[in-house]
Amino acid sequence: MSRRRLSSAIIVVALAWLGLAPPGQAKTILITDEESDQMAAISGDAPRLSWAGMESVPGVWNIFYLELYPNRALLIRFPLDKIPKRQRVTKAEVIVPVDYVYPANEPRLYVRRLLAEWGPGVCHLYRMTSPKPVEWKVPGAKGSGSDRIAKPQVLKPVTGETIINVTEDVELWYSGVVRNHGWMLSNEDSGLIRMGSWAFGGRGRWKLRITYEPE
Amino acid sequence: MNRNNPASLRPASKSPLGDFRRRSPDRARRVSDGQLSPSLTRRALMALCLIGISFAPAAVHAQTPDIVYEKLPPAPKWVDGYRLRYAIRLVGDPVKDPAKTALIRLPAAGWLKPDASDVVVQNAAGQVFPVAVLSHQPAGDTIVQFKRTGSERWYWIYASGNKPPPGKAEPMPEGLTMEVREWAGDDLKSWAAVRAGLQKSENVIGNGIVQEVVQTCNPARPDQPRKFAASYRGYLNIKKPGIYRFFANGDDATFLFIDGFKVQDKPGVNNRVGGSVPLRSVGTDVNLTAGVHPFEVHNVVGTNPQSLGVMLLMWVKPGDKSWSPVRYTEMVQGMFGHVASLECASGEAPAILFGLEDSLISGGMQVYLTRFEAVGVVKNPDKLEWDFGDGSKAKGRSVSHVYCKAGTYNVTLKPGDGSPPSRRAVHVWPAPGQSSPLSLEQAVKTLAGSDWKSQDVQRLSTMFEFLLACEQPNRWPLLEGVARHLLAQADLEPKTRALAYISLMEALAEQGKAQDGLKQLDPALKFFARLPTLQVGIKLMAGDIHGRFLKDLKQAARIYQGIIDDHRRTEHPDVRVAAIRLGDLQTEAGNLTRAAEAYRLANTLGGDKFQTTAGTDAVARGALLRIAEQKLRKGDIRQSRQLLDKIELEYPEQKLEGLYRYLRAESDRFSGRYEEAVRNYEVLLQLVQWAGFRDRASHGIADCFYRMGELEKSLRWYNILKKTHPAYFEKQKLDEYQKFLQARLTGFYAKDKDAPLRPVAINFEPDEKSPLKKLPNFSIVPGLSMNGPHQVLLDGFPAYRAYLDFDFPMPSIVGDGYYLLEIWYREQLCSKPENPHIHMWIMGPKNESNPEGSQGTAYFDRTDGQWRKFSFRIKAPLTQEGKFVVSVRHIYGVMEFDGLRITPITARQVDSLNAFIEGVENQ
Repeated sequence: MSRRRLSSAIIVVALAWLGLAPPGQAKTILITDEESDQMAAISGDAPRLSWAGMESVPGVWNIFYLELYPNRALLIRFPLDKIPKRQRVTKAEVIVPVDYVYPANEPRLYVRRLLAEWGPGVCHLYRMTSPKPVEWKVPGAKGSGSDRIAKPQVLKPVTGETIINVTEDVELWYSGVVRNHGWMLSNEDSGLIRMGSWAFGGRGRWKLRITYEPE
Repeated sequence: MNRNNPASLRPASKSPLGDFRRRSPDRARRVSDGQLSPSLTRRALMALCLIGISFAPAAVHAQTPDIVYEKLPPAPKWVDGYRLRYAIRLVGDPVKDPAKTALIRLPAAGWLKPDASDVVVQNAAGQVFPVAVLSHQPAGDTIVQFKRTGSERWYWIYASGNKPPPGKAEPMPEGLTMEVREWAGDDLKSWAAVRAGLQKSENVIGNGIVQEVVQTCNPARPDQPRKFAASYRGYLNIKKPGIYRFFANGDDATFLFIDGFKVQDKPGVNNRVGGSVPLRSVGTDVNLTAGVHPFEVHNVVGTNPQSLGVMLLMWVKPGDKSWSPVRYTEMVQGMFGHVASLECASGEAPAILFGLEDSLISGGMQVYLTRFEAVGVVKNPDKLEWDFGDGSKAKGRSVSHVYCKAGTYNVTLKPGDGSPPSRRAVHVWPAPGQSSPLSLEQAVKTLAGSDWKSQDVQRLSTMFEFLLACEQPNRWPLLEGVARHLLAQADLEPKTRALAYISLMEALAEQGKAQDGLKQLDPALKFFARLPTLQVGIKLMAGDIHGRFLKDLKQAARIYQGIIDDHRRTEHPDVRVAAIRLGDLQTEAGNLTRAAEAYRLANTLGGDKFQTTAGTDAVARGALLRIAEQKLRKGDIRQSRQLLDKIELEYPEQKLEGLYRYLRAESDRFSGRYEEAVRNYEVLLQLVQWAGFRDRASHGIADCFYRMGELEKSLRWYNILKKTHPAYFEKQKLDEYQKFLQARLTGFYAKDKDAPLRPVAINFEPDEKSPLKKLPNFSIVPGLSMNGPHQVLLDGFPAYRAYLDFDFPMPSIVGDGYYLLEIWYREQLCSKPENPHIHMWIMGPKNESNPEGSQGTAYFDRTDGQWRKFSFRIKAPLTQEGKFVVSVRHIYGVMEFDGLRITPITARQVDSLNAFIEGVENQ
């Protein structure tokens, strides 16, 4: 092959490669509960506890499991500083470990973005108690439009891993339009959804998976 | 057949007098002789019979004493110095009843002095006596007792006086009363601590006159089984002296006093005793002589998480070997007084009557529909001002209100003339019972008429959420208003703003202002320039408006294609939806090939979640379809629809498959979406390879047209079906429907097509037009009631009433259609657990019923004097006319009814309610 032909061929291949290459490489990152900076389990039956995950005997609470009965909620926030600047979020999913659902096919998982800031001492009654007590608008973070977003995402939990599409929420936080206060997961039907605890069997199994690409 | 019109019974061409007019000359001569010929006699007799028959039905339905409306008797002269007067009617037989006193629960409404000392009673002769106040709730009812004079049925109680009463009456040893307080104490460890706590718990939150000490929940707030104290005061009537063993079995702390001595002292946190226990392991022995012994039971419940608020007074009588409840026959009972009217000496004094109409609860959203009536004499109803205690106000005599949260609200009613207001603390809670399909529409109407703009963010958010979920056709103007109001808030949360834009666009389009809806598109897209995923929903709505409302399919297709092109790389389900809608447009235009292409494109969009299912083989898709079919056959229409939605989203190509179309059409039909169903059946008819479904599709179309009221079209399709698929027609026994429609189109009802759709409303008022002509065994009395100044009163006290039945004709019904039956009721004194209940039926003229459910049954809960509405659905038989039958059974205590409604409802209304309650999975 002559030199001229080879150069043309290289140029053609290079151009073709450039044409076929994606317009900006998408990247996917995984943030687990071990990187989460805020989490809590609140319950109307233990209105001052931050770790009311499971009531092993009446009046005695622990975090061995996270049991979602009605009037309980799980709060979790994942920081997003791992995403570089000037990116566009194309997909975001929260993956939660569900160990048990009873009765099968009955309770549903309600997922809402939290609107109010919460922090140390968070419980059913207060969204924080330090530096001073601040109450939820409605106990249990149920203030629609004030504590949490009005319209929830509702889905049937799947034992093993339940995947929740949260692209809109992550895009909102990443854009800076609203502050990242995390999500609230609850069960507003009846029955039980038992989830792996961040401290025990669920450690490392709570994930936020984000795919982004350059703007 | 109209029995009220005698003419309809006569043959059209003949008059019963016709033959008389055709006289023979002979007959004329005989008549002139003053004698009637034999033939003339026969004819005369025939004519008289015919006339008799013609008018007999009218005579039966002329005004008869088959319903007796009790009237208020003339009142004695007004006692000076008092503003208010209640007319009291004693329940039961005042001649035979041995009780010496009467107990009344007065809606005193915050007008009385704090100690309620400004109350007296007057008998028919005008004599005035003091009353004993047994319990006073400042923002509620006051229970009073007075001594009867003779065997009169009527008395008058005066209240809100400015002069000292004629002496003070002490409680007399009759009757059993209950008083409930909010427990403000913090220690249950001893009677002394409890007593201190009771003294702190000054606020009485409920009271009542009861038959027995049987407590099934917190009587004042049934949904709050903790932090309350219930006290019962009554009189045991001991006939046989001896050792009695008593036990007040309840949650937490219970104390029993007899003759002033503490007999049972059970402090602390306890659970009620259940199951088999040794006889002498609980309780206390008391030696009682024959005679009357006053007793008190106090049950105080703290924060025990196991508590249900249950308590029962039990005993073992001398010689007995087991525990039994202390029955009402073992106590000294007074007569119960029913409040028949309320008058004011000057100005106005309407009292607040509160009714819990319905609870609509969906996930975390709660909407409570309530009714308020201003009862008593009201001169200027339009000037009455309500404050509902949640920041809302209204005007009028009879108002509905929507509360967005359970709880206790202090309601105030101000008359327009400056008279003192009346007050009542009302407790709103999710009372048990079936929700009504009409409540959603009523809630929208109520919210639209309220001053919602002055509400806080919390309530507005709940309202917005409700309007998005309720699927009511009357919601659009209100939704437009709320969306605009929300968009005007500068700090509105972005996702809510996106939803508000979408809702505003849709609301405008639904009201015929599609172009105005589209004008919102640019400002919305501009706002969300940095949030492309939120733009998708807004663009989808714009496409929808072009396609559905403006019928500009090209523009709609352009928008959907634009969404796909701009957001192809975003993994959001709405991007997939855009492609599916594109396919739907092509299907509607008849381009099935292009539709298939669009659906195949949709398969590649939306994210990994769908990618995994796209690769799944036909077995999984088929399995989902089969499950959807099974759900449909079982009658789980909602679940079937949700599965079909899932199939549509995950396997959009199925939309061109016959089985999917058939299931979709059927689920549309059963959920009342008849126009969509017809479209889907028509698509199915076009699919050549699915010719085997044509019989079912034709049947479906015929049924849809019937349900839409297009009887001629329906009959045409049944006729076509009979010709084209006779075996199917016969197997489904569709000739019944065909004959029914033919009769409907040619018979009497052809003249008044809307007759079957008119609801029946019976308020038990003497001047109303209602089909109710007979009401045996029921008393209709004056009363402070939910629908007018009369109500039904059933007194099952002290004697039990068994079967109380009545019926009335329904001359025109929606054959095979749904009806909603609603009635307001309240009970007092009904503490015996004998399951009082009501059955209602709609039957055909030959007592035919609908095998899918012509009977409704509801069990009455204890309401302790609060008005509640219950409703249930039944299906009418396939007949032109019918009758409505009611049977009220096993009444103990005093039961009041008002406002009976029978309303035809649609499957769509039922489906909307189910959709609201069950909620939608949106992932």
